Amino acid sequence: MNTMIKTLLMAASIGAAGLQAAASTDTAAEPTLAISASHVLVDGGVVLDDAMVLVADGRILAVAPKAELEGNLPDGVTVVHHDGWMSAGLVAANSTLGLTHSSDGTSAFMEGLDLIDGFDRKAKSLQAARALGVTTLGLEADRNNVIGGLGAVVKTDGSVVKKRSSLALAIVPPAVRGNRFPTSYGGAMRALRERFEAGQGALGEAKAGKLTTSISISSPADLSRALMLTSEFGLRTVIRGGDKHDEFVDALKSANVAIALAPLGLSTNERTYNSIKTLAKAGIPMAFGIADSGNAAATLRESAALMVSAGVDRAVAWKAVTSTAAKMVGAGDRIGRVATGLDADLVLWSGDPLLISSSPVAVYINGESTQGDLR
Amino acid sequence: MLLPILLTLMVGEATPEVAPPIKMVISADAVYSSSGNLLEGGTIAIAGTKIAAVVPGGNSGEDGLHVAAITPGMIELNSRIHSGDTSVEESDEVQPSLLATDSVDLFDKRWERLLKSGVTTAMVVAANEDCIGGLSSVIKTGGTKVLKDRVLVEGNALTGTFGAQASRGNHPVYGRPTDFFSRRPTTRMGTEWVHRKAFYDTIAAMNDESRQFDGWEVMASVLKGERPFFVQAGATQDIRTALYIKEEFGIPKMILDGAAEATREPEILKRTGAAVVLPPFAPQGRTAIDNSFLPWNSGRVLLDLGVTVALSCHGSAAVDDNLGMQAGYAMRGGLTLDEALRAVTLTPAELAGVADRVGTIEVGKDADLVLWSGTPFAATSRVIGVVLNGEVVFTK
Repeated sequence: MNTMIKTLLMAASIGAAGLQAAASTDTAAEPTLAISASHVLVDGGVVLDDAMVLVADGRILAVAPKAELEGNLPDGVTVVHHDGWMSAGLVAANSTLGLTHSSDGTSAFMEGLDLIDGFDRKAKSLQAARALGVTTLGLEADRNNVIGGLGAVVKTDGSVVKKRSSLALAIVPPAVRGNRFPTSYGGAMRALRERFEAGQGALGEAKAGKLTTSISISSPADLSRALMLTSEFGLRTVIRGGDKHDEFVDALKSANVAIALAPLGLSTNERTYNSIKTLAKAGIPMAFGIADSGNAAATLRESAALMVSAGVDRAVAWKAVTSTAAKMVGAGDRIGRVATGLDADLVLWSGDPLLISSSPVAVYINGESTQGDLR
Repeated sequence: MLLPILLTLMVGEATPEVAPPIKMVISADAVYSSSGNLLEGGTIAIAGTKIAAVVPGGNSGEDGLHVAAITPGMIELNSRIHSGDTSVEESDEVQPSLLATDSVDLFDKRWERLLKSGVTTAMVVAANEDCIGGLSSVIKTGGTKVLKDRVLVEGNALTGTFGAQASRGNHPVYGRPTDFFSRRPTTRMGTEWVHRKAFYDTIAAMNDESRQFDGWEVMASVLKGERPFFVQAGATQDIRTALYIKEEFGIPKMILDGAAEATREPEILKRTGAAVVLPPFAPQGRTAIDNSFLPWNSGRVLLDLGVTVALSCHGSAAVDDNLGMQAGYAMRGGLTLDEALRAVTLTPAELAGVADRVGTIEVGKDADLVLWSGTPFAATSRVIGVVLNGEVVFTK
């Protein structure tokens, strides 16, 4: 690499809106791909105009003004100029996409179950998701068991980011209505308390704060129970699903609880939006999970757009489908932003990605184009 | 005009530390304290969440709210506000360690309805589908949505059920019959057998560590009299069964819940000293509890026998089945106003183990009050306001 490029890269690492610096420019790999766009949405509300991203070894090597980098690219670099927007790939905080099975009926307490064992890397639904700009998924068990199992983080190209990312619990009617123990909230809570007290395996890790606990809820009463467990055992909790979270805004804040909301849609009511606005004001992290249905992945960007239309700050809404979701699944250091050192999961959009009228025109995962997925 | 007197009174009684300032004064033509005193014209001063003073006089209404009558907040021993089938653990019919509060939904609209009817404290009991249903708790009917802020006492009683409710055979609360759910007793005999076995197993567990089972300590606490056995028994035969079990195992404290036909077993009741909670009165006399018959004069007959009696609505959703109306019905059956008042305030407070906090209008107790438009429990009177923990939570 010539000196000029090196100097530029260093300047870029430091200068690009306080973004994370590359580990070391001396050992930096040669860039293989350079993509420029009219607007680069690096994170939250930060947009760089006429910027370029350099990619090497599947990672982002630099983000800098196009004018600074363009003239000094080494030979052999693939250069893409995009007259539109570029952003990080979208991230779903929880999902069952690509899972052949999302729970096991052996028992209501499947703390040893690894969801990754049921992951089909070639699933069609993954292809559909990445075509919509979704590049990373938190895989989580469904809500049929009180303890669903250990979640994982995967990319929609089938690669695995993290094998054990969270322990899924469910304190919802489907989990306490099976043809087996428990058939009641009381039974579920008693069994969970016994298990957390014993502190074996994954529950021990969750109790020690080494593993995130994702607790599925539906009603505010469920949330109340989830918060009881969180405070009784000092859990690092992500609440999955439900609405009216604002009833417990103080408790959520003091226990550092994050919320993985269900996708928003045109039928989402005002009460839900009021709750979301209250959480946003209180600074409680919010992201979205997606269900495994026909057009599940599309709901992610729609949810962010609807959040904005409801009056939530643009930055909060964008982070909810990218960097906040990435942090929630424990991969904030690898994905969710356009920043030096992070995975080159990039989406080129026809326009502002927070506008429903925009569509993805190219998707890169680990710097590889997933061309062919798109129309 | 009245405040200075109250303040002096406060100073006189105040502890050296902190006496919270009086924040509200309510006077009434009549203050029914439930502890035997009737103040014809009285004033209650509230400081913080507690009653700071109760003094005669103060009918001017200039110093604060003035109403026709004030009683203590009422206490419902079986609100039956639970999460329905998801409050019943069907994996076993004996669930001593199940916490009813784990199934409670404080967002349920019924809490608000209960509070507006003048009930300020209620026992949370699991649905009566298991023979031994678990531990009940006593909570306030209003306030924050954080459970621990509402609880007066957790696990105050062990709850259970005799009779047809717990022996519905292959008719599960949820799901299809003939499988996992087919395990429950199918007859009254079976229900009795399950109870007897549970207590025998408990005695065995108390003497032999290897015989211990989940929740045996809770069962043992009932045998030792550390908490009451609050058990539903409506029909005469179920009341007999419950009382025989009480005698057989020497259970010191038993409260018969929904005991409609209690008057039919006066001798055993008297002998065993069990307390009775009556279900709501029914026009034709037949109650919802195993279709058992509740005579209108039950309260009178039982009190004359020396039996402790509390009234309850047993979760009925009927418009007239609020607790104040039950007290009125009981008066129609022969109770005096004071006796009826006790049956919905002090007596249930004592049975639930919370009489140090609620149940009477006395200095130092929680400021939970019902404000009435006229004489309490009269058919023409209604609840026009409710004070909970020193706050006016409802006015009409």
